[in-house]
Amino acid sequence: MIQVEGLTARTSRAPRAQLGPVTFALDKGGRYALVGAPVDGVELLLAVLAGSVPPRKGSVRVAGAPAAHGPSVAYAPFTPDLPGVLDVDDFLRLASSIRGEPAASAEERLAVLGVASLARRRIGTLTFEESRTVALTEALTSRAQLLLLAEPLATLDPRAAARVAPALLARAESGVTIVLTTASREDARALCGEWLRFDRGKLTLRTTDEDEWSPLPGAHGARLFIRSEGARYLLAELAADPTIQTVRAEGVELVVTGRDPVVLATAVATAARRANAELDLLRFESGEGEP
Amino acid sequence: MSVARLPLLRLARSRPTWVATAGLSALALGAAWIQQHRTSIHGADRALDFYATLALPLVVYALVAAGIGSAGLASSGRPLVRLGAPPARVAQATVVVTMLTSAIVCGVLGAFVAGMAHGAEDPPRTLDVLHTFAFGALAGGAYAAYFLLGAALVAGFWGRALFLAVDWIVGSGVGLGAAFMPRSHLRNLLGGEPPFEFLPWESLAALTAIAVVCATLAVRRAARVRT
Repeated sequence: MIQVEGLTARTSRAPRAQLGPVTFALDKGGRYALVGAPVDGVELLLAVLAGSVPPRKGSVRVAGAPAAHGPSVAYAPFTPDLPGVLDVDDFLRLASSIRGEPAASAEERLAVLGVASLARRRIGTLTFEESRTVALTEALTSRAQLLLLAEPLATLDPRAAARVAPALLARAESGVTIVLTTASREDARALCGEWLRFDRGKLTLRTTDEDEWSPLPGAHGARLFIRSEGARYLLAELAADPTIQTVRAEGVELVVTGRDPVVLATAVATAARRANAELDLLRFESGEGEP
Repeated sequence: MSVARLPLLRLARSRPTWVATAGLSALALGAAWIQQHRTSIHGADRALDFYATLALPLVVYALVAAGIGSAGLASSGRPLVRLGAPPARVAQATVVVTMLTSAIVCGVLGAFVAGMAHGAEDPPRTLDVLHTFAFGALAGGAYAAYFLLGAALVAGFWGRALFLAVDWIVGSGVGLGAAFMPRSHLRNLLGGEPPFEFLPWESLAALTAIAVVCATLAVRRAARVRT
């Protein structure tokens, strides 16, 4: 389905990343997780596969043709790019029309992730999380043969997140190829059958065997010391995040602990955005064993 | 046709654009009303001068900004291109919708201005209104294509702003440079000084050429940009 040979790419847009050279092939009908943080180049690689970013060197072929946007590829980047002027149901109808698919009811499509109530909302009025859910819904309920999804479980409403895995598995059973990025081993394990780990733009491990999967570099327990205005709301958001192990207040500081520094940093940033809180990072500690 | 929905809705639902358009139209019509009440013998000429030099370019500028959603031409179509729509078709739809809307708005505004400010020694009112409608519509379309080319070459606000400034500075003259600007040809068609000694029919052809060439270049450029 996908052949990547000697690919190098870079982007100056945040998060800045450099990729490659990498060579690999992905079979049709597989579920692949590109594991790493955005700075490791996984989202850049997804954009290259989608045809959004051109390769600097090497080649990328999707279904035998150079990578390009097309009706048979559904690409949902981390930051969704939806037309804010359309209503959600209008957008889904337009997407079906462009993909050449029969128009299905927007409510039915949105119900797959449990967000049918968004159907009549103007996209421009949606929150970031709601926009991501709509973009994911479009991809998951389309008839595209290749799904390229960035962090499909991150920053979603927990009810929607719980429905992503069954929806993905259902698509995979119908022969669709799924490639997603994630910084979370748990997400990768839950959603995919094969994992490709990237570290600073290089493919460092490809496996289907969980035992081969050593911890991510630096994943020995991490502790973040932060200070924030509006800490009360932030505390609630942090406490609700399953990837965060402990949160406690020490004077004016918050100490947040987790197993994986990358996952921890992503979770803290997400919680801050949800709580609309500004953060000062005071200190970061990483060490062996549990924090 | 489905890809035309996005620029259509962007235009229809952009409240700031319609407020700006209404404000500029009110100014142009106000100028026409003043000319009529001064019983000026060439009232239409003076009112149309304000319409052609200020109101029309700024109205089209606002409509283009709404049609492409304040982005570059290529990035304005990104949400549809990512769904698999051909980039050239998306750009084409945006260009056609924006040009048509600009042509209609500018034509109608011109007709109202000419009708309101009609003076005793102006050509017959019906003929004057019809001519101004046609010239305004053509200039509206040409200006839209011209600004869209700016938006295709430089993303964001600066592409269109640069083209507006060039038209303002170069198009106000009568030299060779002015022959490439919509401003000078519209001025010639509405009875002002011609650029590079163009006859009115030559200005008509030049405005048509500006519209076609700029629209074609804008679509070709936008279709090549990766989104």
